[in-house]
Order: sequence, then structure tokens, then C-alpha cells
Amino acid sequence: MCNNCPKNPVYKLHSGEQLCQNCFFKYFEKKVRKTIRVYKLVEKKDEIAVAVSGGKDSLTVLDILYNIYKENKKITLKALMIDEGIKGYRNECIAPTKKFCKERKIPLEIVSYKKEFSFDLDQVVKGRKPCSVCGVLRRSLLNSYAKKLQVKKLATGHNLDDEAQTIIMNQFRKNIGASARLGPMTGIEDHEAFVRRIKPLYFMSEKEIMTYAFLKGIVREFNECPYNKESYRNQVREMLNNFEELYPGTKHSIVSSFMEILPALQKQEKKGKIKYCMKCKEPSSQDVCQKCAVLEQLKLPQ
Amino acid sequence: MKVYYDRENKEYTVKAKNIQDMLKELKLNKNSVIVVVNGMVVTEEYALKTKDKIKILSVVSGG
Ligand code: SF4
Ligand SMILES: [Zn+2]
Ligand SMILES: [Zn+2]
Repeated sequence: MCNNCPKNPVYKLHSGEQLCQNCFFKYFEKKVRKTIRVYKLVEKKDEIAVAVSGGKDSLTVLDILYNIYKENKKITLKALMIDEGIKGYRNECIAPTKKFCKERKIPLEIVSYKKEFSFDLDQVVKGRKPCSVCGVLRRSLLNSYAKKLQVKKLATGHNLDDEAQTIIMNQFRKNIGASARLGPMTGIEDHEAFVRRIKPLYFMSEKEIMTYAFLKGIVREFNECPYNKESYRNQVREMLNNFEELYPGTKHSIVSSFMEILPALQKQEKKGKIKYCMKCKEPSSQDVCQKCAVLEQLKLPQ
Repeated sequence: MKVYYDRENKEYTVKAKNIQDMLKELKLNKNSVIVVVNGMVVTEEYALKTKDKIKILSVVSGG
């Protein structure tokens, strides 16, 4: 039974508390609102683009922000989708995402690798790590199109699992500097080169989000990128989930202890000034940005 | 009892009497799936009945 009312439970928290559908919705929305409030993710007169992939996480973010701010005329919401050109995956996410946005009257912008870089991801991954190419190019397009859409913030569906994985991955790869750019809100306020990233689902686990998205009818069919299973991230995910099963609360501990050292990390990283890429003039920590470096490796024109 | 698992698009036959044992039998981690019985999400303690329609849904982000 639910801990609060005589109904069948749909979720068991790691504290052991069980929640029915209604109590779970309340718990979930309250926690997301708290994240938004405590970390000031959304402020008066914000213009926000939500990066949507068509998966459960990004559509849940879009749905929750829409429900919170639909009566608030001062907050504008847009959706931004990147089509990498992954057959059997992204193309199947496009139609449901269009429908989702249309039902809520949210303007949706779709940007494709094909149009921007004149290739599909599928065409260039042979002998390479798909996720490295994909991630760099997607981040770059999200930043440049968020600027074109003239929004102040870009909301993403990153969740507790993603963040715990990234923290561990950066540790394992001795890439701690990259962790300074994590957290519920990243970037610099009012910087012309960057759009701030916000992560309203920062403290929600994948399992909580899936439960919410399923019960709200946000997602229907399972869909997975064909390159996902072989990724480094997927191995870290499995390791962390095995730990979580043995020691419930592990992922929470990773993220909350990380939050304690984050300010120190950020201070340390601030020393490096922002430069601009010699080739494309986008912000970069090196002379040539990661996107241009990847495109150069692929020996394709920009 | 028959169980459908969406990430593999496969149906399995299980002997378990509750969700927790079923996931163990299938070697699935409880943190990476949710279980839907007759259209409703259930927790690990749920006791399976013979006519139940069981679906296991992966919670992994697609990429
Ligand atoms: S799994 Fe890798 S290749 Fe697939 S969409 Fe995600 S980052 Fe891109
Ligand atoms: Zn309840
Ligand atoms: Zn560049």
C-alpha cells in the first residue's frame, strides 16, 4: 500500500517509502519545482529553449515546464531538436515530438547534421567512436541555435543517472576540468557566446522519470540509439546500477558530494579565459574548437 | 508465465511469483527497468497472478 493513502503503490523510494500514482506525481513535481527554485533555474521574463530528443527525459522536462509556466505570459518556451541522421532511431522520434509540441502549441525548431554539415552521423561513424563525434557536434549546434532563437537558457533532460555517470567518467578519464562545467545550471550569466544550460531533472533518477513519463502517457514505444550499447557511458551506467542495487542511494551520494566540491572546481577552472575558435569564431578553450577539430578529422568541409 | 521485455523486443517465460524474483531470474537490474502489469506500474513486492499481462520497460535514455 501507498504510505499516505489506501492505494496500490507504483514506486518505492530508496528510503523504502511506497507511493501510489497520485502521491508519486506530487512527489515528482514537488522535487522538480524545488530544484528550479533552489538553483534559480528559471527567473522572471526568461526565454527558454528545451533541447528535445523525443525521449522520456527531454519530453518530461518540456511537459513540466509547460505546465508550470503556461499561464505565465512572461516566460516563453520553445523546443529545439537535433536530427543527427541515425537511421532507425532519431527519424522515428521526429513525428511524435512534432505532435507533442503541436498539442501544446510550443514552437519546434529541427536542425539536422545533413543540412548543417552535409552528412548523416551514420555515414561517418565507421572506425570511430560514434558518441564522441555525435556529442561534440550536437553540443555545438545546440549552442549556436539557442543563440539564433535568442533564448537566455537551454533546458535539457539530464537526470541524476546521467550526472552520476559523467562525474565518474570524468574521474576515470582524468578529465576533472570538464566536471567544473556540470551542475544543475551551467554557463555564465548574460554572456554573448554561451547560452546557459539548465537541468530541471537534475535530482530525478532515470527510473523515476520513466515511471512519470509512462503514467503521464508522455512516452509510448522504446527507442534506443544503435550506438548506445557499445558506449563507455553504458558500461558506467551498468556498473553504477549494480552498486545502487547493493547499496541503495549510491547515485544520490555521488551527485550530492559532487555538489559540495563543485564551487571549488569552478573557481579553479575560471582561471582559463574563454577564447574563440580561429575557424568558426565560436567560444572554445583551445585555438580550434572541438567541433572544428572533429570536422577536420572527418575531412569534411564545414 | 510470459513476460515481454521492450529493450530486447523479446518474450521470456519465468517461474517467479513476484516482481523482485522475476527480475533476478531474468538477470535484470531493478534500477534499469519498470514493470507494468495489466497496464499499471507495480513495485517489486507485487505478487504475480496467472492471468497477468506483464511488460518490462527499460528506463535507459536512448542516446
Ligand atoms: S548514443 Fe551516442 S551516437 Fe547515439 S545519439 Fe547518443 S551520443 Fe549520439
Ligand atoms: Zn498515495
Ligand atoms: Zn570552431
